[in-house]
Amino acid sequence: MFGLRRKIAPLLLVLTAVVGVTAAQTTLNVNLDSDPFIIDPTANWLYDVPANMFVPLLDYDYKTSQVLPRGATSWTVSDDGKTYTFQIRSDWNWSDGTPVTAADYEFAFKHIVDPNTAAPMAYRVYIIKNAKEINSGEIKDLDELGVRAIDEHTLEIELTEPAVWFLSSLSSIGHAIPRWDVEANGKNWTDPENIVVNGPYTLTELKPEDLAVLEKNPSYYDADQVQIEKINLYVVKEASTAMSMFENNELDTVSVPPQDIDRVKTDPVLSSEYYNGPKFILYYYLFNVLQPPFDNVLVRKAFAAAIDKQAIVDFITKGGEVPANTLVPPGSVGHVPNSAGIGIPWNPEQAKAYLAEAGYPNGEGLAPITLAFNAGETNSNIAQAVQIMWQDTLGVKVELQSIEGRAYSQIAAEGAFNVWRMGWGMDYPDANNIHAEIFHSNVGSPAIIKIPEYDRLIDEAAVESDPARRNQLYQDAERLLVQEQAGTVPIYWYAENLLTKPNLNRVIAPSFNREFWKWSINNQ
Amino acid sequence: MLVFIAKRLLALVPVLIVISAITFLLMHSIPGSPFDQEEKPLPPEIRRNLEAFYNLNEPLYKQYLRYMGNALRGDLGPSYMQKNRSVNDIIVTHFPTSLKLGLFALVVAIIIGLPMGIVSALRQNTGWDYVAMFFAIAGVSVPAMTLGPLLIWGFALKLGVLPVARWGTWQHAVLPAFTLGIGHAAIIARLTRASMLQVIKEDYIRTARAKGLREQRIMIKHALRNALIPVITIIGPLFAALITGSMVVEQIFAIPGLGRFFVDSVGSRDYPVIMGTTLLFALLLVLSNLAVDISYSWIDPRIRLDES
Repeated sequence: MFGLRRKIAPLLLVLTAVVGVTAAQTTLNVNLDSDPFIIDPTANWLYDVPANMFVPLLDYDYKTSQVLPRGATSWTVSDDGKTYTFQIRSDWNWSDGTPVTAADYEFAFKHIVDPNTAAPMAYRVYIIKNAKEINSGEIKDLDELGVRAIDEHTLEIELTEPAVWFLSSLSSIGHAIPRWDVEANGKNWTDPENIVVNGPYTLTELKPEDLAVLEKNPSYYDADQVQIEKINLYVVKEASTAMSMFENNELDTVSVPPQDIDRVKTDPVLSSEYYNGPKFILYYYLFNVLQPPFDNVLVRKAFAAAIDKQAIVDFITKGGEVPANTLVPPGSVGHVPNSAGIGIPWNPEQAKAYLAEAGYPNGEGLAPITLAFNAGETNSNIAQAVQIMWQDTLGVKVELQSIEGRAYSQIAAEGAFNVWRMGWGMDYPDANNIHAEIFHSNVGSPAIIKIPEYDRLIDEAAVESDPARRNQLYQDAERLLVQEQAGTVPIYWYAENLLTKPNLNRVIAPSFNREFWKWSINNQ
Repeated sequence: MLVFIAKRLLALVPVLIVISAITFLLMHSIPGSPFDQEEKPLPPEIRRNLEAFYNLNEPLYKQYLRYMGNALRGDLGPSYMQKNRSVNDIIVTHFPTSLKLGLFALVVAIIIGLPMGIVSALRQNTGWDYVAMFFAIAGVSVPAMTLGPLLIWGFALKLGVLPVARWGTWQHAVLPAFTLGIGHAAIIARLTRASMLQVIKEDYIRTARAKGLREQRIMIKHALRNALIPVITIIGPLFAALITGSMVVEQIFAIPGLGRFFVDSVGSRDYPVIMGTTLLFALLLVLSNLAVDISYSWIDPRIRLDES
């Protein structure tokens, strides 16, 4: 009997060791703050689930501000800057074994601009020849789009005009989709039983409003580098609930709700798991220049100089946000740092002087002004703080208006308020995304300032290939718009506040989507 | 009885038509379209595409008639926000979850509320009464958005005996059912107490005591049965509200029910979902009230439903 024990014991030890090793965590548990209801990357804004299943032409390195190969391995630009030719990666298949080809990318761009897709972000590719005309219905033939597969692995994209920012925009739009799957299954092509992917993960389970499960796709061209095998994405919209799940070890990483930031920073365990860093989102106010008093540049400057942005981020948002004197967030091409001295810093005495020079000493003669914001606790708190700053510094009566979300942007853009709050999350990390899509006279709200010289600077920067010259152009544009004309008041750039379990190596980039294929779990 | 039920079911049709017309007009009177985005107005050509895609460029009366024609055939239309899903699919997928949560919450409300109200009435103006009514007031006063996180903190994070959130097992149902049901338990308790206090003063209760019946038999067989009528009256609409109005609890506990669609669809102007969920709520309310009326005749044989 003892002899048998002596034989079994080492065997048990070995078995225990083997089981211990194979019980290592290979599944990641994260939350989604909204349901991934549209998984087709060509039919909606890009979210985590499609971003990890489909591959765009390019990737973007936020550390070096360089575009990198992804679906395309190389590219050339014609001398006139209007034609881009991409070499699509070869020896790479969809998850059903079909080779990935340039035609898949051609189909994707056509699907985006097809009016029947009703893609809300289709305007992002209007730089492509005939994209706007097709999307608006002026041109019916999708083949007129300036995207062509020259051969199996060569894709040509023709633009309406040169655009230096175009390559960086391709990291978040233009993901290839499988034409045969779309045609065979219609809108159900993204159901788990039908879906065909070419990216790091595939969708194996989808319970609406509850759970999405991603599993590693062995057909991905870089599958060897993908370390996490399976990801459970739980739909948990309430931030405090997600935080509780993280503390209960039900999630491996989570965004910290604002009300928990102070507690996290002082907690001995949570503080070691905490990360704070920049996000590509801007918080700003706009002035209505169509009516008094903000048709007067001195009044705009006075109100801009009366806002203490540091106090807002220290006492209201408290999430490590950065007060912004310029528009474009840090990390984007064309960002103008606060240290450049551009913008209107907080200066109550200067604010009073501006207002007196405008003919309203201590606010006398100024009618009450309206400050509007889309309904939300943070927006409301900030607006109340700004209201007090303006009343105390300038002697002006400020009426706050909280407007429900859907109606807000349209009403505000039409000039219903004197001052209104907006936010902008960069679609791609390039200053063109803000200047050309918000403030350029061609597209901006009818109620905001129009500056022909500013338009000229932005148009020139869009095609300027010399990075130094381009940065200078954006600096001049910010000086003109934000400082000299005070057409807008940047308030702050958002911050990311995260908690991550110690064994999770989370690669953090300030883009909107989490790139799970770059993460890993340390099981040692 | 059958005639009564048939009449009530037939009356459902004009009720739903009127509700659908009012809802349709109200939702189209709210500013903002389903495709507006908070941070940037949509380019006009994209707005036109989207509105044409969903026939929103037609006159309102045409849109309404189109919707009702489809609805009568059982098609409640597509969701604007969840493009891959129809309203039918949303209701079929998520309503059972809300139904289960609502039923659990109703059971909690009745199991806690009824005995609390009975004890309060029978021990009026004693310590039992004061404690029970204190809990009743507390239950009504503390909103779900406060109670829910408190229960998560206590039972999930500190004691670790229940999960924080999500749905699937009976353990997942405990905290949300309690959060949702406790406020209604308080209402049931107070109503039961008031009703019992009224009934136990009736002559027939005095007669029953004079006849020598045991107090327990008097209370349960005679007093409670009559005291329940006002309580059952509210349980009907309470049931409908519980299974459709659990949005806050579903949000806190990440439960994939229908509740959030009721509110989110208004904010996102998802017109077909607004219409579908409103009509569903109206249907549930009418059927719940019908069930209440039917139960009257069982509880009180004096009530005949086919009498006007």
